[in-house]
Amino acid sequence: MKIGLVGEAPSDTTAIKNLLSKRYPSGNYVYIPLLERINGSMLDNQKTKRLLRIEFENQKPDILIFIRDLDGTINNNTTLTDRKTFFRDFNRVVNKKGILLLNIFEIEALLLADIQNFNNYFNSNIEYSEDPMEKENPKEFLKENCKKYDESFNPEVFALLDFDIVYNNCKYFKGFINRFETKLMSI
Amino acid sequence: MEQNLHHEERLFLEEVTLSGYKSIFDTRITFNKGINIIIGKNAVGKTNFFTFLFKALNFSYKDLFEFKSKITIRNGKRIIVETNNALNIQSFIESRAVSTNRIKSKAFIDNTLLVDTEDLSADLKTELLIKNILLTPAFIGHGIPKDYLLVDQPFSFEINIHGFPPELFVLVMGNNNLPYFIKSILTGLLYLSYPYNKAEASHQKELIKQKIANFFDVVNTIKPYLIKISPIEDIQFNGDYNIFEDDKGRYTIKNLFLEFLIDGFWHPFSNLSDGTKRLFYIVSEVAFDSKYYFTNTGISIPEYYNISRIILIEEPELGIHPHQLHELMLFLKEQSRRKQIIITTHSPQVLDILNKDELGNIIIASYEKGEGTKLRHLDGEEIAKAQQYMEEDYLGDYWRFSDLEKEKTQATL
Repeated sequence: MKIGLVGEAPSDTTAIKNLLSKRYPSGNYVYIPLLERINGSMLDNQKTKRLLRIEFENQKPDILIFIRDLDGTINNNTTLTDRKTFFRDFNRVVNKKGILLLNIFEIEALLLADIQNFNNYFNSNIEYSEDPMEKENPKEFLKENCKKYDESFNPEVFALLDFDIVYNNCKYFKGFINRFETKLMSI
Repeated sequence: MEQNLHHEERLFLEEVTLSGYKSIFDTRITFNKGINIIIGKNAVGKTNFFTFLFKALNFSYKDLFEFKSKITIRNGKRIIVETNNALNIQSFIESRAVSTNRIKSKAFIDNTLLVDTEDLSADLKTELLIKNILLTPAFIGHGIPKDYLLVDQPFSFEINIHGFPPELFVLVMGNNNLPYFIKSILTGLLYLSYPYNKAEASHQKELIKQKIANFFDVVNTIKPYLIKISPIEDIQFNGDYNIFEDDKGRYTIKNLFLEFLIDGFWHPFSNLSDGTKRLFYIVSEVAFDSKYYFTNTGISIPEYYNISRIILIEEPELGIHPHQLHELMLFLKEQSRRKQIIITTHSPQVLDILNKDELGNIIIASYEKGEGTKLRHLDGEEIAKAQQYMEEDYLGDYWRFSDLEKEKTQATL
């Protein structure tokens, strides 16, 4: 099974791959990052859509995960509409094999979902027990409370997260995994 | 005589196999006529490859010990020159040998042995010269040359009525690192050694000045390219160089150098921007059509010999504005119709100069642990994908955004 990944940065796709590999191990699933050197601002433009179609046709993933940050809370309707429109447009060029992993507020919220393993890695002492996707600016929150943390560590730290804890603590991630499972079963 | 090459046939480097220099453990690659572009990440050994290749093309193996090189040069016929130094450093020390030179060469034309020798200069080069197998390699490295005589440094030299001035002769003959453009000019200056005419003895200085001025007409051949590609509007030798005469018929020309016209003012090279310096360096090395060519077998004159040029260029994009880089690449592409040009680059814009039917001219460099620098061409899948990119957008996008440089086994995370 080939799982394609498109994100706003290479560290995002690697981080999500590292987390998903816990439940969907590399032996059975091949993870293929596409268009690794685009950034968030390039993701929405027409050229990226054309390039994605070429990559999709050549790499032929069975399913393609679009990893986006909402950069706002779930109540931010304008941005939410933009992200949904992006997904609808881009999903067309990949024969509707796409699935959207929308991070609210941003991908670092998933670190809050398993803050214990984050603390273990950085030897920090952050306490957080709320819904991680209701936290505004989680990256800034982590940086303010852990001087060693920088987003460049995300791939390594995501590899240490406990999949089940993240799944149980983050309802949006749980929803994504449930849709992902359904899509996998349909293939 | 059958094996002599026709004068109108130009040689090009078809294949090279090198081993025994820094990261070049065992590197083999084929090249096409025209423009060839090598891409690859930093520190995979592209510069090592060029440095070694330049030595091999010049049959000059200084600083090499246990090495092998095999270059295949092609026109109608296939010429192969195999060289190796079988000397093992350990056995050299143990045997207390007095020389590290155990270099042996064999040359073949269409599988027929041409020469088998341990004397590169006397045997190999002579045979190649007789058979008109003449190359003029040039290596345009990063930045500009360290000792850029006549350009960045004023040049002083002596001529006399008795023949070639020895210092200038040694400088031209013995220095493979002199830029081709400079070497060609200095070779021309060598021929200034015969200005003496008894009837005109009273105005020898004027004659020398006139000869230098006439000689500069050849340098003018690069002007149109400089005007098109760079901010340089004109070039000239400085007018205020000095000529001194002694009582033995020797003349010393002091402080000769090039000046550059930009925005209506003449400047020394040191006043130019880094990008303009680099453009001048590349254009002068590639476009200059000298009356004299310094080849891998000695000085030759193209009226008698057809000289084939192989030009290695490291990262032509360095310090160059994107618009000028576009012009530069068009220039190099045009020049590559008559000269083989091999480029390394980190710029997708450089790659965009290739057409769909030239994708075989892309070479990917990589470094493999234990195996050193490796070079390869695109495979069928990569060529098909590149063509797809070129239909939708640009070839450079394939390199920039996709997996062009990834090893096949590493194409997935």
